[in-house]
Amino acid sequence: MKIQKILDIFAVLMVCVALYFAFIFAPSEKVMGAIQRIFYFHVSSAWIAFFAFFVTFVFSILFLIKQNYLFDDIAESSAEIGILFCTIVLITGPIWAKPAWGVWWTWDPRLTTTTILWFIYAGYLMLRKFIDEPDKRARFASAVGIIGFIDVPIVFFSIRWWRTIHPNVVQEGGGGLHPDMTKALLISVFAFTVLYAALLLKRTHIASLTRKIDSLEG
Amino acid sequence: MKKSWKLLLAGLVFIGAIGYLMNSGFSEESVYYLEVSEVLENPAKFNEKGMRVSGDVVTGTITKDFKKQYLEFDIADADGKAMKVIYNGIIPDTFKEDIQVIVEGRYDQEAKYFKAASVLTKCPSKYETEVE
Repeated sequence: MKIQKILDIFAVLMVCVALYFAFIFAPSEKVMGAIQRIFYFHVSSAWIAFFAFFVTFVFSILFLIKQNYLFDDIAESSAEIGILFCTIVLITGPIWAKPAWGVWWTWDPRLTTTTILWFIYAGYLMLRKFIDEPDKRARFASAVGIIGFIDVPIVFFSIRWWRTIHPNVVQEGGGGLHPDMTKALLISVFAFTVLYAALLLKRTHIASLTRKIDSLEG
Repeated sequence: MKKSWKLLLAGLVFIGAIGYLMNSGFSEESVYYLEVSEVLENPAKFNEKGMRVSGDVVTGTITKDFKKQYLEFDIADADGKAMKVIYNGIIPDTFKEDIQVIVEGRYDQEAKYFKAASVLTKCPSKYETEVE
């Protein structure tokens, strides 16, 4: 229990530090001004969504090999947190797009593949709700958790593979960042990662307790 | 038995949604936008469904009337091929010279200009600060 508490406190502290870096330390962008600061939340959330789905992918494979239900709990928990952050990406994106591009939404490859990503993991979570038998549920969900991950690299590389309106700031071949903005971004990403770890620990704990209760009732 | 029907239904809804997204995102054009030169080569090919075209706003070609919501400018691609764009509607705040825009609409082959239904401004990929 102790490690959970330490992580919680660390996550709260890091989020405060990240807020300071995003709103005060980082300089205002020349063209877009204050709205560009949403960048630190948008990119960090996208990173956590990718990472969370990767964790689901890894633990889905591990479950199929080892048949250990703890791995299934971790995969489920991570997918839930991933879809939360994917939702944040899909909310902060349009808020930023309206002042920057002039529209809330456009069917650009990056935006379209991200929406598909959201649907894949919404499907994953619904599938879990529909199947009652724990062993069948875990096997089916693992399959979706593995196949669904294909979309993550597609989303990531979409801005390099296809013509797009979405800017490429930090990836290879991208425009680049002011050094102070890079610092603020790295701290935001780190803070979000700590927050993810804290959430994952809690959610997995709940999942294994639920499994215990279900097995007692059954 | 009831459960499996629900599952099947949910599955179909999801496959349908993903299919629709793929379809609306990619197949109407195999690319998100065209270059100016690609449009000028064969406008008729793209006019049927409408198109998106990307280009740099050419300095000194802008005619702007906020009251009448009228905007006229030239866009050019990297090879220097240029075309005139006319747009009626709310002019985006971010629209100015020396930026890249994506215009959506159709090319008028007789009058030789692009009639834009919407103008999207591209923001820079390089984030810089005001004062150094």
